[in-house]
This record gives sequence, structure tokens and C-alpha cells, in this order.
Amino acid sequence: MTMVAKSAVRTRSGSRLMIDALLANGVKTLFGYPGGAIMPLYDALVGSGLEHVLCRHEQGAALAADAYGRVTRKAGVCIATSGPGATNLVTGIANAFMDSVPMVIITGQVASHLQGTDAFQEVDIFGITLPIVKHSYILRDVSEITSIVNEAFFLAESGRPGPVLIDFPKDVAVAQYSGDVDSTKPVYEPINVDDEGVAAAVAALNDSRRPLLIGGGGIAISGVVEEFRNFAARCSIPVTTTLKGLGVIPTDDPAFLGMLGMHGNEAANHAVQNCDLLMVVGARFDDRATGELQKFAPTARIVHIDIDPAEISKLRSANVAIVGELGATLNAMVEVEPVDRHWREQCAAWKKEFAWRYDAPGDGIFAPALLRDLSRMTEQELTVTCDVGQHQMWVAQHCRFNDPRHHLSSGGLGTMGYGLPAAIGAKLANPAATVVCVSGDGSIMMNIQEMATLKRYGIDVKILLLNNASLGLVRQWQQLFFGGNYSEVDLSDNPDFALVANAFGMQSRTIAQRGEVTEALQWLLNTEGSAMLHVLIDPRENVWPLVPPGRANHEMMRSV
Amino acid sequence: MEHELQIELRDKEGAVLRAIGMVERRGFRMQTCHVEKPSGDSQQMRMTVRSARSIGVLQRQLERLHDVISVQRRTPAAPVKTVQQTARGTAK
Ligand SMILES: Cc1ncc(C[n+]2csc(CCOP(=O)(O)OP(=O)(O)O)c2C)c(N)n1
Repeated sequence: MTMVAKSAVRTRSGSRLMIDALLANGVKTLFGYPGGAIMPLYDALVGSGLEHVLCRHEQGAALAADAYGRVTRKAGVCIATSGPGATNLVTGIANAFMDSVPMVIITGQVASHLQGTDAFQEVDIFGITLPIVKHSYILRDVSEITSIVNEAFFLAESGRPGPVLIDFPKDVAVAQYSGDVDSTKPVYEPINVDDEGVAAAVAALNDSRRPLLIGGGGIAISGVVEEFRNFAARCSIPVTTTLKGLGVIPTDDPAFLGMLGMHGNEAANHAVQNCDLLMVVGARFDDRATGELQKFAPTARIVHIDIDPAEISKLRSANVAIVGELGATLNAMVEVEPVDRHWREQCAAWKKEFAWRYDAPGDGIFAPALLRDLSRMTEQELTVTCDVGQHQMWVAQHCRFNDPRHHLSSGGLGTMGYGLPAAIGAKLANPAATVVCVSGDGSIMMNIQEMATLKRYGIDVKILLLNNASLGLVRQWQQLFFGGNYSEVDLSDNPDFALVANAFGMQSRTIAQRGEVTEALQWLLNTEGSAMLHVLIDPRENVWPLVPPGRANHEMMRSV
Repeated sequence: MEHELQIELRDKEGAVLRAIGMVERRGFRMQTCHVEKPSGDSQQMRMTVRSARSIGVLQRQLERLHDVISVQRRTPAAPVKTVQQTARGTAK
């Protein structure tokens, strides 16, 4: 803790104190939607200097704040009214929780004397969100606002980040306060490097013959991409990543074997299953990454490095566990020897054997090839946000990323509807970026109203809509694992998305032939302002390869 | 496996719910639970929980809650089989 800084100031309302505390915490942009109980805060917002982005659904606001937080590594902020406004935020809060994204959420609440009486638009959002927040508060007294907001930002952004909710009752928002304000901000004290753990990890690495490095989402979250790359280069170790780790090593780096897991690259999965040491940095053994846990990396000793002690040995027990700052820990691992050449050659051979193929038959548009081309078209790397489904997996497999914050994907929660609001958050967080939202015809409908947000603020986001007239990923599972019993996955009665885009003031084009792809992608990227490229693809296309449920990662299906 | 936990909490709104929620959602059944506020600004919680899952992981998950000050764990000795259980072979 720093010194206590107390300042007596003029009389201010609770809402004004809230705005001042947000400004003092560096907030510039926030995402929200007004309503009854939060009206005092909206009143104070006018002329405050904060840029408020009116999304068209609170879920859109929360997901935009999530992406804003991922890109800036500072808490994204969203606000909503009590009751339905607050409950509409829930998916976005859970999304941030599952992916350890810094976020501060402010919800209006009915006045204190009405709480617990089933008042109009009263819901216990504090209770509803208990399992999906890092921490939460109900403001009970106007004098606490500044210190609670400061603590909320501190908790959201420090250690393993996460969402922190502040429920803001209307009477507290309108109360006047002229007493002392404790504006102390907690200060993060980094964890000291665990020298013993580092020595044990280095020894384990040097003793191993077939080591493999897994880079997870924690690397982007803690901003230690360079430290990670330097470490990997020091020992010339083969590298794989989780979905959220994509970009921690450049896609084109010879040591990179691709993503591991259910829709990972076979080279990465073979390396995992055959390695004798797995060094896991900022990842948490998610079941989509491990496949059947009992069969995961059966011959490997585990070195697990994470800032969160609760992740250690949660799913797979670690032989060497280091709880600490990822960057400092990696930097301390100096005495590492280069990895055995034969193992590196074996990994390189797998990489060659299982390189992606793009020679699909026919004239139809092959989405993997389109995505590969898209991400290699511009000199400045694109920021790609995606929704959830087959298109999300194709982005992960085929787009090129040199920076994990250029790939925004809902990993833990798998939230259809993430892509468009995330693109808004990402573009506002980094206006210089070219942001493309890759979506599916199912997912785009989940937050399609945010096209109005694009229009309202002139936000330049490109939408690449891969339309297979179905809930593709679910259809694929029904085909493969439910005997072709297709249940509620047909979307052939979709609206004409190109017209929908036009209605929201966006230019659009529709393509269906392979020969049109290059020119159309150029059109999309060169069009001024937001635009949609609507791409019709074969509904029968599947994501390959795939680890079937209950199988080990190397037992991948490659076709029907 | 049955375990006994002694949890010291900040005396803050929601602290008890958060701790109980964590125990149950992470796969433990509460057998007993006792909360009291001796004095000052902390609360003491004592509970016995049962699960096949690792109590060490639960302890760390509890410890990372902002309102949790400390978690002590005491795993009681394995229950002594009753004559009836032994006879039926149902003792766990
Ligand atoms: C909010 C939400 N509801 C349901 C699901 C389950 N789900 C996962 S993928 C998917 C289909 C997605 O379809 P689409 O967006 O068209 O993408 P495609 O798989 O066709 O590329 C569904 C329904 C989900 N992940 N999120």
C-alpha cells in the first residue's frame, strides 16, 4: 500500500465521485446502456470527459469491454441499469472470468430501502454473479466509493486478472458527500522469483530428451511475449500453444508446431503425446486442449508455471510447480541447454507431414484457404476477432498471428456473439489496427444489433461472414457422433445478410465462387469504413482434424 | 474423503456465501458448517467437507478469494468402521 492520500473536496454526489474515481483510474472509454437505477450516473456522465459507447444490448457492452481489456491490458469498463440491464451483462462477465480478462462492471441497483422487497427491476446481481467474478461489492455508503473503485481496478488488473462488479444503489448514487476521500490506490507487489523452483525446472529441462513448451493465454495477459520468445530461443525448444496462446510465438517460426488440442495441429498433438517433459506457461489444462486427461502427455513430467496457485495440480499434477510472475520466472531460467537435435528434427518432420493442405476440390470457397490468404494480405497484421464455431477453429488454424492480442477469441466460455462487440472494443482500444470480425451465420445473429453501434460511432470494423446456412460445428458433431440425426441446426432461412448490413449503413458484397476470393478480400480491406463480405460456403464442410471425445490427442480423425 | 477446514474471512458482505459457493461448486459436499464473528472485523468459519477431489486444490481456490484471510485444514482420521458396516462390507 502507498501512503494514504486524503483530500477534502467540495460536496459531490455519489455519481460524481464514481466518475472521478473512474477518471482517476485512467478510464477513457466505457460501454453501457442506461436505465432507471443507473440514471444518476448517466446524468453525471454528461460533460465528464469519459467517452461512453452506447451498445445496443448490455451483452454487447460487456463483450466490447472484455475485448477492450484484452487489448489494453487495463480493465474494460461496462455499465448497465439494475434488473434486466444487469442480467444482460452476465454472459459478458462470465466470458471475462473464464478468460481472465480485467474488467470493472458497474450496475445500477434499486435504492437501499427497496432492496429485498422484490422492487421494480430489482435483482440480486451481486448474488447472481458471485461464481463468475474475481470480486464484487455492493456500495453501502457514499464515503466508500473512491476506495472501493480503486480496489476494484486493482483487483481486476493485478495477479490473475478478472472481472470485478460494483453494484451501485440509487440512493448512494444521489447522496451528497463532502467528507474526506481516501484516494489511496493499492500497489501490486510482484511475487519474488522462486529460485528453487527455477533451478528444479532448469534441471528437469536439461535432463529431458524430448521437451516441449506450451504457451497459454497467461503470456498475453501478463505482457511477456518477448520473455517467452527469448526463453524458447535460448533452448531451441519446440513450441505449441493453446487457443489463447496463439501469437505468443510467430505462426511462421520454425519451432512452432501449431495449436494443440481438439482442433489443433497433429504435429503439436504428436509432440505432446511423445514428449518426456512438458513445460506449461500460463495455461490451465483445459479439456479442449488436453483431450482425455488420463491419456494426455502420458510420458511427460510436468513443469507448470502460473501466477495462480489454484491452477497448480488442479487437473494434472505438476512435477515442478512455480507460482510467480511469468516474465521474471522465464528470464531467470538462464542455464538451459539446447534441446536435443534428434527431437527437434522429429518435431520438424511431424510439422512437415501434418502441414495444412489447401487443395480442396471444386470451385466452392474453401474457408481455410480464404482465411490463410486474408491474414497474409496486409503488411500490418490484422486484428481478428471471432465468434464460436467452425469459423473460429479455422481462424485459429489458418490465420497468421505474430501477437496474441491480435487474436481475440472466446476461449473458456465459447460465447457465440463475441465477435462483433469484441471488434468494437478492439478497434476503440487500438484505432490504428485493422480489425476483422470473422463470424458465422449463427453467431452473427447473437449480437447483430451492434452493427448499429458501428454506424453510430463510425467504427471501422470489417465483417467476414462465413455463411454455411447452419450451426456448423453442432451439425458436424451431429454428423460424427449422433449418427447424422440433425436436430435444429438448419439455418437455410437466414435473412440476406448483405441487405442487413446495408440497412445498418454498411457496404456489403456476397461471394460464392473461389475465383472471386482474392479480389473480394481486397475490396473488404480497402473499403473505407465498416463493411461486410458475405461468403457462402458449403454447409457440409467440416473442421479437421478432430480429437473425438474420450480419445487421446494423437488419435485424431482426419475425415468422415 | 472427509476434511475439516477452518477459514478466516473478512467481515464483508457476501464473504460467507462466496466461500460456501466455492466449496460446493468445486465438487465438495458440506457435512457441517459453523460461522461466528468473535470480534473485530473478521469471521471464523469451520466446516467439514467431503469429496474425492483434492482438498489442496480447494484450499488454494479458497485462498485466492479476496475476502479469505486464511485457510487451515485438518483432515480427520479415517472413520472407524462400525460392526454393521464391516459385516456388510459397505465401509468406505
Ligand atoms: C451463446 C451460445 N449458444 C450456443 C452455443 C453452442 N454452439 C457452439 S458452436 C455453435 C454453432 C455456431 O454456428 P455458426 O456461428 O454459424 O458457426 P459455424 O460453426 O457454422 O462456423 C453453437 C450453437 C455457444 N457456443 N454459444
